[in-house]
Amino acid sequence: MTHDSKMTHDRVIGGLIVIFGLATGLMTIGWPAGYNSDSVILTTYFFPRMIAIGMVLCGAWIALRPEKRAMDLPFSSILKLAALAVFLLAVVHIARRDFFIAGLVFGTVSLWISRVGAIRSILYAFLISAVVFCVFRYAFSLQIPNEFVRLALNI
Amino acid sequence: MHFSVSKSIARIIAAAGIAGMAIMASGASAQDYPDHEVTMLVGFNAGGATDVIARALADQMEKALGQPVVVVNKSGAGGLLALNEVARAKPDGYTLMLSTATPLTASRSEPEAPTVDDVEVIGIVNLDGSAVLVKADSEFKTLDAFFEAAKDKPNSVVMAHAGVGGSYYLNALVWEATTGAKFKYVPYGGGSEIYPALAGGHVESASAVLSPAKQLIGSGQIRALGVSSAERNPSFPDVPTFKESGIDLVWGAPKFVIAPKDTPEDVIAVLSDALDQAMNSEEMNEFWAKTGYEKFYLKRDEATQYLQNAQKSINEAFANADGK
Amino acid sequence: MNSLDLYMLGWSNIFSFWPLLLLFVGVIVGVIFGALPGLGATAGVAIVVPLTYGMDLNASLSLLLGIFCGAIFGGSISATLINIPGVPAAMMTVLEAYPLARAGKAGLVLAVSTISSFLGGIFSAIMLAFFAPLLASWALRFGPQEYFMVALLGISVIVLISGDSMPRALFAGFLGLLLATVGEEALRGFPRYAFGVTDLRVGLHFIPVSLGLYGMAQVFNYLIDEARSGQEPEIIRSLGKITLPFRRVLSLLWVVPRNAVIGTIVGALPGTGATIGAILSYGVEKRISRTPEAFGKGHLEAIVATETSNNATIGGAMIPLLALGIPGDATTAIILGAFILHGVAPGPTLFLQQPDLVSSIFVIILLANVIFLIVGLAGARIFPKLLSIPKNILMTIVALLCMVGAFSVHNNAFDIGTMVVFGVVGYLMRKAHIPIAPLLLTLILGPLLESNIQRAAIIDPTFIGFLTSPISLSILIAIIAMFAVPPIIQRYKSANALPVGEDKETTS
Repeated sequence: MTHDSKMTHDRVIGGLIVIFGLATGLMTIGWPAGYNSDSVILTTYFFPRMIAIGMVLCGAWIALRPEKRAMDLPFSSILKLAALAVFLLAVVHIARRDFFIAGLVFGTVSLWISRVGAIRSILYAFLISAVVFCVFRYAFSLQIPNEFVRLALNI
Repeated sequence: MHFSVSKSIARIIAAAGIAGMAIMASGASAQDYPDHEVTMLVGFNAGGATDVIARALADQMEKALGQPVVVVNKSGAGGLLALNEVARAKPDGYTLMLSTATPLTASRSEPEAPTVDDVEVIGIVNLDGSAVLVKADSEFKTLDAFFEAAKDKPNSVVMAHAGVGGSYYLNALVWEATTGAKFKYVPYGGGSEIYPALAGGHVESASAVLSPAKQLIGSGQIRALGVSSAERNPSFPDVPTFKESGIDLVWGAPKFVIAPKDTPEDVIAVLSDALDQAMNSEEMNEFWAKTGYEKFYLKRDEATQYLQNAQKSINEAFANADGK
Repeated sequence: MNSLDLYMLGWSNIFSFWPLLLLFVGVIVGVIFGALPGLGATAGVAIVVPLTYGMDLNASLSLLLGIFCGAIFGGSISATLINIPGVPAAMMTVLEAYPLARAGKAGLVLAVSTISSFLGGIFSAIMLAFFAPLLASWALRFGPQEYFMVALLGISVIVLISGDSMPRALFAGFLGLLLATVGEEALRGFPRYAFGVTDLRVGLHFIPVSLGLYGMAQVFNYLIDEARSGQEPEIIRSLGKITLPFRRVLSLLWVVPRNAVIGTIVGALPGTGATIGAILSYGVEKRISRTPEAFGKGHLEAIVATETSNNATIGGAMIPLLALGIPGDATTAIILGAFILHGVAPGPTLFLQQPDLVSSIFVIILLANVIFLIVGLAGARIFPKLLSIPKNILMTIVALLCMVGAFSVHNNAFDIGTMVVFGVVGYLMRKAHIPIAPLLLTLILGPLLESNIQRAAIIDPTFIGFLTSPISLSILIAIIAMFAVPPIIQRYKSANALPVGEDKETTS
């Protein structure tokens, strides 16, 4: 990595922050100042806009005074991150109905990615999910959803 | 021949279908209900009034139903998250909620929110009169003087409440609609934040309830000018009612048990019975006495009627608040 | 009744079978709940409350307070071992404990944590027993201006945890403030940044966000970067003896008193709790320290400060509860519920009419602290061994625990989704070298800041109150001092050419 590209990273990050700050600030346009008989100084958008300005300034600071800092984020990592995020959100969707199955799915995939053999992944995931589920549901009486398993076991 | 075979096949299928439906229908019948635990949702966190009442109720209903009744706290949006969940739940009698005023008020800010007509009301269990509390050194000594001042000088008397979706705020709006007063509102994050603010003299007045402030009222750090229930609260014999002070208002925020709409009649009958047994039990009566929360029991149709009337008053109060 | 008789009465109330057993069970459960990411004192107490319905008051209090004390301490265990604050109050501990654990000092950190928590807890229990009514009425003098100042003081601590890059830390701080605005605005209920999603109207809760930023981010880091690369996984080990030279112990003990005081005071303010106590203590400690550059890389003094303080908030939080009947935070609100259920209404007359109850509570807290002291010291060696599970399996377990933890906040799977989103955010932040702690700091303090300035503005639009109130003024001076004084001392020091010492822990 050359000296220049290290500084570019900071410029990119700074730029992104500026854009983010502007976006959050712009989103507050159209918000009501207050409702009817308010005579208040602090509108609903006072703080958010202050924050947006602050972020823009921080972003500008970072972009205009870049420091030599490498950002270790290859494109492949970004793709993996996106894939994992989507996968996890799907897992959460399953978890809404049945936590155990969600845990099983997640555990299997996660273990398999971590170089645990396919069969062992399913087995460990099953065990871990079952233990976590039982402990939290029955020992701690946390109402974790369990629709599918119940249907399957006909409880 | 062909014809009659298919006819008999058709008959067999029809018979099977009818038998199947009969089996399914009986599956939902009251004889089997309940056969596993029942969930009672509460829209607020553990420790608060709604939670405490729900748990005591659940304890007693368990005895009547023969199955565990589990209280699940699902706080958020002033009880709206829990309300949404119960309104959308399967109408099989396994999901209930001890609701507060949320279905009566939520549609003001959330047009899609469930109202009282979107759920089945099993019964009202509690009604705490709204109370006007003032700081110890406040210039206001009587309820009518208080409202007079707030009416003469709109937006000058500071009133604390527990948040714009909540019942304390709602109560204050009802007072405004009734008396023509206009307050300067200061929101706090919950009942327990209001009392220190009052006791410390940081706000002039507050809309809240009497029970949690018992000690502070007793020691004089907070004064109660009046309460809007029909009669004086036995734990607070010195606090006059609104009526006694010349203000024609009997009002309170109810807590009531609801189930999803379209829950079968026989399931509701079982639940009604269980609620009845619970509310008439000795343990519940002890509970009301010990905690100071007020028992107020109305069953199904009476309860629904009461809530619909309350809804009218609430709509008036909102119109009054929005109109100005 | 003189004090000694009262004390003995408290002992006899508690020193019987059920209360003691429940106290012990409570502390163990509390430590477990505190260590598990996402669960904590509030969840533990909430789950246990139904069980206390049949018990008498002393027994219920033993159980509930045992959990409370155990949980705040327990949070430091996961903070040390897996870099996740098990309890929000451990968020500052994470900054120092994990680096030390990676350097092989996990056992030492746990031991130090245990003892600090113990001392903090005992101190606040004593304050509770002897000074509660006084402290409580003083705490009542905190109105919106004063709370705003406290929040401002807490936020100014960001400047101290900025690491290498101030703009990045400030950005994280602003981001936290932004996240704090998500949800219904306090004054009017207007939903901000909610995009029509009902679950967002409630706002973003601290726990799913912190579990995401610390917990899931690490899981992502592992799965994306480490899992297939064949790197040797780092193992947290506890090397060598858990001992320190005597002088060092003394210098660490010296840190305790001021932070115990800070913790007790912060606990006594309704509306602030263990987390804010830890933040302020960290800030004060770093400002006073002669070796501020050692903070953030593993500095025992910091751990002593934060752990003493957050346990001291427990006794502190019981002060307004008992003296005024006002709960200071979510956990004490539940405990208040337990009181009410037993027909006891805490408040000003409680100290006069039922001093034995106060005495019992004092004894309970005392014993609870002793129990976790033993558990903690014994565990200091054992707990790190739990991590000798292969990292791939450990990460999956941690991820699942985080998911349950996130769910437990509102019994809502939406919070798990929030956590996942912040896992992504946390991963990216780490890559961009943006520190996470400032975000969490402002997320906690942001609401306090905005709601109080709003209230102050409504009650007194001229804002004079900020300067006329003695408390508010003193905090303002403290904030200025935090910023202005050290550079002055620096200049004085460099003028006299005094060398600045290095902390030995991180280099050995």
